[in-house]
Amino acid sequence: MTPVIEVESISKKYFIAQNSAYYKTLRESLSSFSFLKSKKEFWALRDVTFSMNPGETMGVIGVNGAGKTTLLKILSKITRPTHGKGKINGRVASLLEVGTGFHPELTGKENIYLNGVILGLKKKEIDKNFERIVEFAGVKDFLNTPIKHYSTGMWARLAFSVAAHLEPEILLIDEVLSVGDAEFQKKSLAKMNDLSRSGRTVVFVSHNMAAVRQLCTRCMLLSEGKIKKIGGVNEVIDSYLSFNERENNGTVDLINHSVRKGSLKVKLYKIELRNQNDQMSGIFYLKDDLSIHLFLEAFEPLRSVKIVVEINDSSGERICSMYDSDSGFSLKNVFGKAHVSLALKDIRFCPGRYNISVSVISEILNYKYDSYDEIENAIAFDMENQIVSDRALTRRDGLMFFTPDWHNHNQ
Amino acid sequence: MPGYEIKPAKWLSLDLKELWQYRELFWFMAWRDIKVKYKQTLLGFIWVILQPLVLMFIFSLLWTRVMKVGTVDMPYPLFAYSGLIFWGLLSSGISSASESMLANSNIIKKVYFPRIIIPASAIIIALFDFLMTLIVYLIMIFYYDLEPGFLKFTGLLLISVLITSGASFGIGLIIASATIKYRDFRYVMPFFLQTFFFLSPVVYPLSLFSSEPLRLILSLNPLAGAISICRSALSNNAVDWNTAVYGIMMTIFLLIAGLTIFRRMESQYSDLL
Repeated sequence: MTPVIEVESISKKYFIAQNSAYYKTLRESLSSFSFLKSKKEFWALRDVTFSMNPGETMGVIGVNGAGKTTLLKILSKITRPTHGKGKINGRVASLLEVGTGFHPELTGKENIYLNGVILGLKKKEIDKNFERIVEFAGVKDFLNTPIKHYSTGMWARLAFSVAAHLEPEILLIDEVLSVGDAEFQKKSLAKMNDLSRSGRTVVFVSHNMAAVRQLCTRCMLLSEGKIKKIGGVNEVIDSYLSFNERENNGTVDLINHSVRKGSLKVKLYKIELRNQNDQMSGIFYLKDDLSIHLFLEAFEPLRSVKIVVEINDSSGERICSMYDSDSGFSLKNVFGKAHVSLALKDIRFCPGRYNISVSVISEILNYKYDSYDEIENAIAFDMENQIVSDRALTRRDGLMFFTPDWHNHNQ
Repeated sequence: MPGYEIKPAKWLSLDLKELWQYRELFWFMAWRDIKVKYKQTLLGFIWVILQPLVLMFIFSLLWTRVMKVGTVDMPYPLFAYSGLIFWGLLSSGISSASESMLANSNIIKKVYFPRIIIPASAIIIALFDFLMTLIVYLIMIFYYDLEPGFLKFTGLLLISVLITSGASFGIGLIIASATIKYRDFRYVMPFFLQTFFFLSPVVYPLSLFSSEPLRLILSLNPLAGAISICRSALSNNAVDWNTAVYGIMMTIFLLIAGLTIFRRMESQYSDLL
């Protein structure tokens, strides 16, 4: 049997220009020395090799930034690999987003055709499937209405419906099941199931482990651009969950943590991350509250200790240092166990993984202090991918997401 | 079996077979933009015609009252209008082609297709607008009671349209590539177009300049060739192919340059946008 998808040591390098967007302005290029500015290399994918036979459904899982979307973009030819090669045998439809190319001014009917053609269907094929697309989306009465008047739910249903009625041999799907209400999600999952049963080869990127278990015959775990594990669905998901849970269910046991500095007069033995509902979690969304709960034990009476919490992004770049004294807080007369928490309200970090480092030290006198317990990257939290207003927020949009008050002063 | 190979970007490749497979997308993109344009502006059609018409009145007024600096071999309003509609084709082609890539960045980042379809379909919109302005042109020809031979008229018009849209596609491709890489290139555009307008024999005849070398340089402008070819169908002069050939050569050069630059950068677009 010839494989439908065959890729060999595919790598993809991006440049992240320091302190600026990926594109430049002409002025920057022309102004002196800009070409000497260091550009940071970033390997989104490294040496990825795999092949798929007809009829297989491969789930692709991993934390944000592991390279899942980049892999789909390379398979679908949207972007080219830096190294490596591959071969795709069959017609491909990629679904990185539902409703790509929808135009609000055009009617539902017009958008079905436009979206279908953009996704690679021929007009004849759309004609043939038109009735079924409309029925599945349930928008029959609104076909001649411009879709700017559609509700979000109708929009999503129409978009998924067009995509689901593509009849390619190979289907590449990224997180599209997360649209619409629960009822529609169930319906679309069933539709996807049909597709994979009917002999299509599917690559399915998802954070939804239940959906991956239900749909896929094989699974690939990506981590930092490399294939960490590939094989049976349950086996790979289990190893992902345990690998991920250790760091990322929002708590970490530090009693036996070995990589630490300090005299251990005070010992940090547990950290918990909690959201605004006081639930433990390693996953946060924009505008959530993030409380960091620190559990300490002092083994001798101390008049006061000072606590510093730092947040770094996944590349190790420091985002902030928070001294307890900055907030006018200090922990006095400590002996035995203590529980301290700090709450960050309305967090605005862009999607990605963030590491928290904690230092417990003595009061600073003349720039000197005793170190009690310092643990780097003690715990991590993930900011989830998210749609904000009219776009999907990604790490490319920067580190922070702000929604300032805008004013029009011309009136 | 259809399919493709995945490999690092090559510097040059114009895959005609693939372009042919995507022909429906090309028409749909053009159809979408025309539809949206004429749907959104209530007076879309009138608006397109009004622009060259108003300019024609202004320049006719200036020509008769202020700056009659040369002689033209046909009624001046007709002379000006014929120049202005070709200028419209060129300038709106250039600006919509060069903006098209940024305007469609959401599709480019999510779906694969030959990227050249986007600027190419932008030219179709400019051509569609041109067709609208052509209606007034025909009415004016009847009004002035000119009777150009049908074959000669349409033949020369077609050649002029080909030269103009070819040049505007070529220039549009170059600017589109530049704008993706350097976003502030957009701000150069209005100045560039304005300069281009006054350097083209749109509202004045090329014969205004007596210096032979200067005339030669100005006729390197594809628009100069296109307009003079189109006008010679109305005056009874023969086409001055000796001058026009410079403009045609320039068009071919611009097309090749534009396609080369665009193709060379094509693989980077989804990463840059």
